[in-house]
This record gives sequence, C-alpha cells and structure tokens, in this order.
Amino acid sequence: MNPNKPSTDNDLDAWLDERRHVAAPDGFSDRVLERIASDQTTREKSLWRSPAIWAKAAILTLALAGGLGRYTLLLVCLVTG
Amino acid sequence: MLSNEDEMSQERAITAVRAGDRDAFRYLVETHQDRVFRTCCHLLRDPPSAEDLAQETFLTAFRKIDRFDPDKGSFAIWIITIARRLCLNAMKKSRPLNLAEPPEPAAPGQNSPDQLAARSDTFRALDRALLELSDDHRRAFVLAEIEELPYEDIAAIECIAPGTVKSRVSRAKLALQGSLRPTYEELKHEP
Repeated sequence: MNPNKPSTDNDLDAWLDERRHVAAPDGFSDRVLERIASDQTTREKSLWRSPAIWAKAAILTLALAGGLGRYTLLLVCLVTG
Repeated sequence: MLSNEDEMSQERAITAVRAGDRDAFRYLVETHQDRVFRTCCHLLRDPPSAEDLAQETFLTAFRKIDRFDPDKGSFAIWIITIARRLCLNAMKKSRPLNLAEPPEPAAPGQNSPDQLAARSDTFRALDRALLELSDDHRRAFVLAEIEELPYEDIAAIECIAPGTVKSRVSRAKLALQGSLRPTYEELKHEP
C-alpha cells in the first residue's frame, strides 16, 4: 500500500495551512521605508519644478508690486497736492 | 487579529505618522506586512510582482493615512482594501497566467522526501486551481480561508452581501477539491 495515498480532502487543509505561512521576504519593511523616503524627496523636488507653483509666485509678486505702486502713487499725489 | 495592547500601539503609531513621524510607520508595516504580502501573492496571477504591489500598498497607505477612519473599520481591513484595489488594477493592466512560481511558504514542514513529493503534487494542483478560479471567487476564498477574515469584513472589503461571500467561498472550495480528483486517481493506480 502506498503510504502517501491521500484518503480524504485533508490535503486541502494541509495546503491551506502552508499558504497561511507565506510571509513577507526579509528586509521588506526597510525597502518600504526607503521607498517612502524616496517618494517624499521626489514629491518635494517636483513641487518646486511645478509650473503651477511658479505661476502662483509670479501672480503674488505682481499683486504685491502693483499694490505698493498704487500706494507710492497715492503718496506722491498727496505730497505734491 | 491584534490584541488590545497591539491595537493601542497601532493607534499611537497612526497618530505619530499623521504628525509627520515617518519612522513610526515601520511599526505598522511590520505588523501587517505578512498579511498584505500574502494577499498580493494569492490574488495576483503574477506572484513575482507581489512584493512590488505589497510595497505600493504601504506607500499608498502612508500617503493617505489621514483618510483612515477607525470608526469605519480596522487598519488591517483598510490596508487589505488598498491591496485588493491595487491588485485589481494590476490585473486589469496585464493578466499573465504564471503557474510556474506559486508563492513559497516561510518555513516548510519537516517531512520525508516521499511525503514531500506526494504533497507537492497535490499542492501544485491546488496552486494551479487557485489561479484558475474566477477573480471574484479567488478573492473571497483567499480572504476567508487563507487570511481567515470574517465574512462581514470581506463583505465590507468587496462591497457585497455576506451571503454572497459565503457562496463564493463555498464554490471556490468545491472547485479546489475537484482539482484534486485527477491527482487522487493517479495515486490510486500506483502500486
């Protein structure tokens, strides 16, 4: 008689038990944290390369300059009467 | 599932990560990495890319940690939901049927070479049968029987009724049991 002959569907349970022991490979958490660090650096860099950020900065500068210019003109008008 | 003490450590880690402490995320990764990796391994039809998807799952969780709401479910369910979505997206992009490399268990049991050979035949048949299940049935089976999640949690992850989960798991089990029949027949005819 073949001792390895399966007699019941206990094989399914044995297989499930083996599948439940599949584990993440060594160093997995280190690699995840490295990836997060690299992702954050990339995001920070790409933020400053974004045209939207520079457009906002330009609008703010123009608005500020425009506002200051208006006040200077008002001051000149007041002084010169 | 986690003990009360672990739940508290997890809550502290989530609060720290939200406050910008990246190292606190390591605790969350180490607590859930096996489950996430296993889920990706068993859901994907391309097991070698499982680690990449599992890493991507944690990266997504880190980016979206502010969206995690403990009132809606545990962190474990939240992260499995992310893994499931990423696996579905990856499978939509490419659907290779890689039957050659099923995920390996962490530590094989102590068995004789004969026992291992016989087991490997049935286990290979089951690995193949798992990959041949429909995606819906495989997800339900993996989450219920391998991850041992309650049907209610799987229903929440899959956005279906618990009864549907139960029926999918039961059909998947029948299909897997059916896949063993040819192997049993071959062994029956051995001297």
